[in-house]
Amino acid sequence: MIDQQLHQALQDEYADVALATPVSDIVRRGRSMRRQYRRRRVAAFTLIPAFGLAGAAVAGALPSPISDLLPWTTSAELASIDWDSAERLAVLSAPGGQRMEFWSATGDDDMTCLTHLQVSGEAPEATRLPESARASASGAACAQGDVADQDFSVSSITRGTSAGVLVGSAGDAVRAELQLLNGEVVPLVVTDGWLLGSFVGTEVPGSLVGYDSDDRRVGTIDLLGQTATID
Amino acid sequence: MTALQEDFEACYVRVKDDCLRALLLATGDRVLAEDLLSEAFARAWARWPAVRMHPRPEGWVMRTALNLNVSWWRRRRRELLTSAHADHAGVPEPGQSEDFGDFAALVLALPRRQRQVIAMRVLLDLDTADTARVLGLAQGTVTAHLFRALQSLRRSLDSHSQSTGGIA
Repeated sequence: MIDQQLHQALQDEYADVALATPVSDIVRRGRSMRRQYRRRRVAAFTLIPAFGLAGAAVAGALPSPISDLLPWTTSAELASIDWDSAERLAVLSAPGGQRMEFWSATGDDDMTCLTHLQVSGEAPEATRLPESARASASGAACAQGDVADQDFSVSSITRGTSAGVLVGSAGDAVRAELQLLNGEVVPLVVTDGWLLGSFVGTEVPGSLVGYDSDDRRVGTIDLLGQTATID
Repeated sequence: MTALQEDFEACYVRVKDDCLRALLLATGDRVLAEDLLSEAFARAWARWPAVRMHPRPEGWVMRTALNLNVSWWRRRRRELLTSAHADHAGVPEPGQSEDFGDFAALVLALPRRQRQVIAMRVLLDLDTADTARVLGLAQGTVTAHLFRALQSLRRSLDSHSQSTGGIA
């Protein structure tokens, strides 16, 4: 058969043909491409669905916007998240004597997802994430791999009736702040690569600014204009 | 290193050389094939959680590389139009390049689509359906290109055998 002969002949003739590019170079280039995709997405995708949500959050679980830190997150991957083993990542003060709890859990393929819930300040700390806060396929901010590898970016902003929640990735920022339109500055929490914040009021904050350990700006995200500048 | 990266690296090591050989046959240009393939693999890694779900990830890589070739070629079009090549640049005449053996030279003399089908079907061992997806063709078209390509090669081999007593 000529195709079998051809296969063998071509394999023989091309025996010395090998791609010499080290895989480390490929991975580095691919990682750079991911960052570019994410930067574009910060302005074009992430904030729009978040702002589009009506302010429906009340005491109890806040509705999480459809958002993720990576654009390729699929329902199947989110379905693998083991919320039973979720850990409380941070607790912030919320209006009305309440507190905002952020929980993270892992799943297949190095996926880490984060969800949040608002609870009464008097309620005892739960040892497990309540059923009401378990994210469904459309309900969590997720990252593939180490969140600390992500760029400074916003994943979601959820506005409630009295408070809002911001979730993002810290990138090179060791601290970050929300600059509200009324001039107030709200410090955010940076932990495990995540950027977490809770702010009073129902208005969309003006901008998000991140700073590195030398207090230099690493990025500014105009939350109203939906534009990002990564330094 | 994450499990995802380990998975990508294992796939890269497994398919990179076959992909390069197929792309070399499809383009006829070693340097171009290496550049296209490196770029295509980087894009595959950037989207690896999705690409890895493909039954033949190398098919995704090859399609990306061939699409890149078209866009890169368009950019170079003005320059190419001044050259003597009627097809994509860099395809040598049979026997003209020391980089290619006799069989490869015969394949490189085929029309571009037939070369691509041979590269996917014979060198990369993709089936007709995957080849059709990679090249953006109907399966029947792939079969037709393969038939014509093999027919041409058979004729070339016959005439080569008669004139030289067999291909080296």
